[in-house]
Amino acid sequence: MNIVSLLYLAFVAVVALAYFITPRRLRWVTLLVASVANYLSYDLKLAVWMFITSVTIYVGGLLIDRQEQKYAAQIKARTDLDRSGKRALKKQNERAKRRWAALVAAVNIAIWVIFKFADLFITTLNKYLSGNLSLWHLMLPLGISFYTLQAISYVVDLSRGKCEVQRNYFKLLLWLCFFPQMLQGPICRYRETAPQLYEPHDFDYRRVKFGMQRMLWGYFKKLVIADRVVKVSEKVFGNSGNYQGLVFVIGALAYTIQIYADFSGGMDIISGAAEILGVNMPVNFERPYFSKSISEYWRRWHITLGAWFRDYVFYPLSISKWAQKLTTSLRKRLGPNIAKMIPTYLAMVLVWMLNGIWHGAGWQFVAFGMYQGILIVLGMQFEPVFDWVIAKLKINTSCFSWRLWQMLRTLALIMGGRIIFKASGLYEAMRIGWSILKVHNIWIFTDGTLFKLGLNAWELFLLFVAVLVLLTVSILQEKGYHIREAIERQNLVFRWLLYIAAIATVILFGVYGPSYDAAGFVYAGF
Amino acid sequence: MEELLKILSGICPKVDFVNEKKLIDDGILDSFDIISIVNELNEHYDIEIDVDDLEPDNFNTVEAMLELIEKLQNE
Amino acid sequence: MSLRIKRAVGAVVFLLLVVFVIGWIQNAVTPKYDWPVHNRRSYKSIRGAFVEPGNSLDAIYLGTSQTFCSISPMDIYDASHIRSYNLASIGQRVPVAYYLLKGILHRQSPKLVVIDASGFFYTEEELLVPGKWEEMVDSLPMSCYREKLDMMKDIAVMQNRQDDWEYLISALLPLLRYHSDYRVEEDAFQRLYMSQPYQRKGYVATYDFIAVDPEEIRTAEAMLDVNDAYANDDDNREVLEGCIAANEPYLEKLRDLCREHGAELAFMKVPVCANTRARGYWSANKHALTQAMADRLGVKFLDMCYEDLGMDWQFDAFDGGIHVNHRGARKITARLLDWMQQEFDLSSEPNAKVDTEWDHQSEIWASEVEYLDLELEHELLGFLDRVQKGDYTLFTTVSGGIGEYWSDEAQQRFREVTGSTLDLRDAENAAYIGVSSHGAIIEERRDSKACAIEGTLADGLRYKATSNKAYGKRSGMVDIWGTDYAPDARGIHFVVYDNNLRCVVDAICFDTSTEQLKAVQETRYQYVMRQKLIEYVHRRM
Repeated sequence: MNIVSLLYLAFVAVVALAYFITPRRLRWVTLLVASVANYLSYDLKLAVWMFITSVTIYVGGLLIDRQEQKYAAQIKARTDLDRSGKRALKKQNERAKRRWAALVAAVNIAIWVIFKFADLFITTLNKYLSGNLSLWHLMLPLGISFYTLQAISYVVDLSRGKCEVQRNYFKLLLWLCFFPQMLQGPICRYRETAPQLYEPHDFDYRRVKFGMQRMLWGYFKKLVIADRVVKVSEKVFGNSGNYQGLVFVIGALAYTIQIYADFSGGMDIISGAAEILGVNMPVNFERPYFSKSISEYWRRWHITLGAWFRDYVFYPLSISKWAQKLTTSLRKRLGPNIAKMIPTYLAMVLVWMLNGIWHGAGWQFVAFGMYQGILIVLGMQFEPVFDWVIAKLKINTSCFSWRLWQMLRTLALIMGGRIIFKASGLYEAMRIGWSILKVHNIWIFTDGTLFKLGLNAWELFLLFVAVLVLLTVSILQEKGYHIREAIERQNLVFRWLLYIAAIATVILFGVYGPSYDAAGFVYAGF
Repeated sequence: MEELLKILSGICPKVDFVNEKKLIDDGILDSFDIISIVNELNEHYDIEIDVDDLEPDNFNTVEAMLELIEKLQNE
Repeated sequence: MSLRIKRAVGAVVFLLLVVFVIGWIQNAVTPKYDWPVHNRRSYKSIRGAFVEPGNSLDAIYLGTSQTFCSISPMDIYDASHIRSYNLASIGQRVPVAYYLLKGILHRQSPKLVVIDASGFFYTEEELLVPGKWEEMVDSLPMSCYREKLDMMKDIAVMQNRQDDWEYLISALLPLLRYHSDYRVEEDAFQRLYMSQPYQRKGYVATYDFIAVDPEEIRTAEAMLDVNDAYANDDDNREVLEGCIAANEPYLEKLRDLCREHGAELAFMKVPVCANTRARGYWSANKHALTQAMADRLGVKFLDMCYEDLGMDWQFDAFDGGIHVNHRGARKITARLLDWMQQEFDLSSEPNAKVDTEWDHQSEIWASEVEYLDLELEHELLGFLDRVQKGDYTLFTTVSGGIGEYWSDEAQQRFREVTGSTLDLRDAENAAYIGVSSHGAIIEERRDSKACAIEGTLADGLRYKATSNKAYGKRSGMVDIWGTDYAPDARGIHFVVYDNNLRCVVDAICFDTSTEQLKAVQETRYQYVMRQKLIEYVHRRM
């Protein structure tokens, strides 16, 4: 069920109630039943794939563990080995474990690739080989992009010795499909999240209260901001042929606000629901739009995805044998400094390409990833140049205005990325970019164009106030305030007024519910 | 220790390695810096830092890095 | 008290508070509109039926806007003591009528249910215009929760969205559909509650006479003629047969429902003179199909389109003959009562308590009717008679000269009503402005070219008026509190200000350069006046 529905709220309430009244020993079973039921409620047939994935990592985990035990026994038995012999044995063990992990990862990636790229592949094939293959139109199993990454992280962590094997299949299944987060993340690590799922939590008034508050805040972001501003971004990018210049800046800004409020709002709802059940989700957003550089931005935006790519793609690639060989072979030609950088840059560009592909099947997503990667590489490469300019111009870099400039500059670059992401295609994205540079139609703010972009004046005002609230809260959080704790210290009357005002705001100003027929609404003669 | 600090300052001249105790957790070093440091350490101490070792705990402080190097040298 | 109990109590109290606030918001945002003041929805009219005392209604009328503009239950009560209620609503589909009736039958046990055939000819497609259903779902009170849910289910199935759980539940939680309406409906937060009986009993009185072009008037003979010039494309017998066939199962259900509750079902058709180019026309084909349906179901049918009710379509309709105004409604209501008394036994036990209540409302209705009659008056002498009777301040201004058809009689009556000392007859080429009240002139002025006055009345009313012997745009103005109410036509303008309601209640111009003294209405005053009238009625209830 959709996390923004009455049904979901009712579901969370029922699960929480059931959780706290089940005997402690069986509480994890309640979570499992709820999670599986939730997943099955979407699509019975496609759910099979999630179960297949869970079985692969379960079996893979057991195999890796068997290898580890074999190794332990060998080490114990062979007391005669010297240091290098032990080292060789260890290496052998590691290789064996990684082979298993790689096999499981390959199977799951294959499933994911087939579901996600079959049609793109066939289309491309048809186009270049004038083939006439029909498209498969596969329905994606829900949450596949998230649980596949989570599944891979389990077997890889296991092979790296970073977590314990799970011998109970059902417990592993629960970790893979825990209902609040399985559809849109955060991407959890077994080591961090799983123990919390299995351990029974007692009803904790404060924690439950905090969880509900966090959910409410998430609904505010999602319903009042994201689902309102979406009208602007849809209008602008859906009819991009009709607009030019500054309208696209507004559209990009709208989309930038929308996607943050939507995604991070969803995270708040999910984390709040998990918090009620005693599970702390990993942090996925840390006010990314306050970042002072693109690389910082990606450390604060969709944190668990970035961390996944870092730990499972970037690190292994850039310190691999392959990278070392490349460095050695380049050293003579390019000198030691550049030779050291090249493999790392290559790894980074590959990571960003994968990151782009993860977001969607299409060249523009590849371009989106590359855009980020190139910006980061350029930023690093030109850092000395910037430093030189700053020193020459005697710019004070320790004041607020400089940090603000950095933030705005980063935000502008991010918005550029959003245009690539949101435009109907790569070519269209370029056209939009060109139009922004070329057409300076400042008059859209005065000739009423602004109010024809999907929201009327009153709605825009509402949006403005809501974004202002979000901004204020974000600044307070950035400054280290703990909002929920601060509210807790207030008097009862104030607290309750605040809660009720917040609930009323979401109910009244949220965009939700079955819309009714506008045509039937207008008096039509008789 | 002195030797290590010299190497580290060579890679990231702006970072105060002596006093910072949360180099990774506070985001002072990013993944790119880590890779540069790992490459440099591998070369200098003739060790092989593995992906398994790329844990925040191993890189948060200079002391931790030193510990890691010693562990790998003794293996 | 332990912390646990304290927290539990706190949580419960908080939850109740939240439920209360949500309920309040829901009440505030759910539309409660009254047609025609807001030109949409019939919420108030429908709700009114459910606050009538239990088992007090003898008859129920169902149908479309044509029906609620035509049948006035209060007039029926005044003439016969038969208590009835008009449950018609805008574009009421037969299945919607069925559910409304089902809902009201929980409280009432009428002996007769009359449904107007105007709603029988919606195409299958038109049957499922969701808005037409949703309005009525929300108009039914919460006690009819089953009907609400059933209606929502039906319409969801028709739209193929039966899995839309929130849509279904919005039958009981309309907040889901209306929470963002506050920006569409200017006064969504006004009149939050309505519990008083509705003195009009579902009848919607209209007060304009936008005259039908005499060329367009279709007589009964024309309507009966299959080759009638207007009976063109739309009036296709096969299409119409399909429409009524789609409605047949619902009509059957309706009849059976009536039988179960000991009521008799009957069909009627209120007169219209609309042609096929407008919606809601009537034709020989429709008549024949309805008659056949009536025969098949064994119900009686009164088609008033072909009866001589003395309808004067020039003045009895307000929008070109699709809907009648109050003057037309009177004639139709009288005929229906006549038929009901002849064909059905509607006698009931007298109920003194209910009758007292109805008598009281009847008085209020009568005072409302006085205003309606003034607004609908389109003859100069009749108009002056009505002005003389009420507590008004009359503003008069002449635009483009008084004209040659200002008769001696008119001059005589004008003097009596206003106390004017000036003679307008020789002012054919002059300007004139007058302000009077209760037969006494307050201020008047005449000029050979143009004149203007400005002043303040005893109750603080500020006015400005101009007159010009030459006719042109805005050459005669009556400006009250910054709004010009004069109809801006050639001739003598009257703006009637009610001293009790403290608002303008009529604005009319008689063209004294034409023999028939053609009347032109200005409707700018009406919105404020309707509001004031509602307040006035509520005060008296």
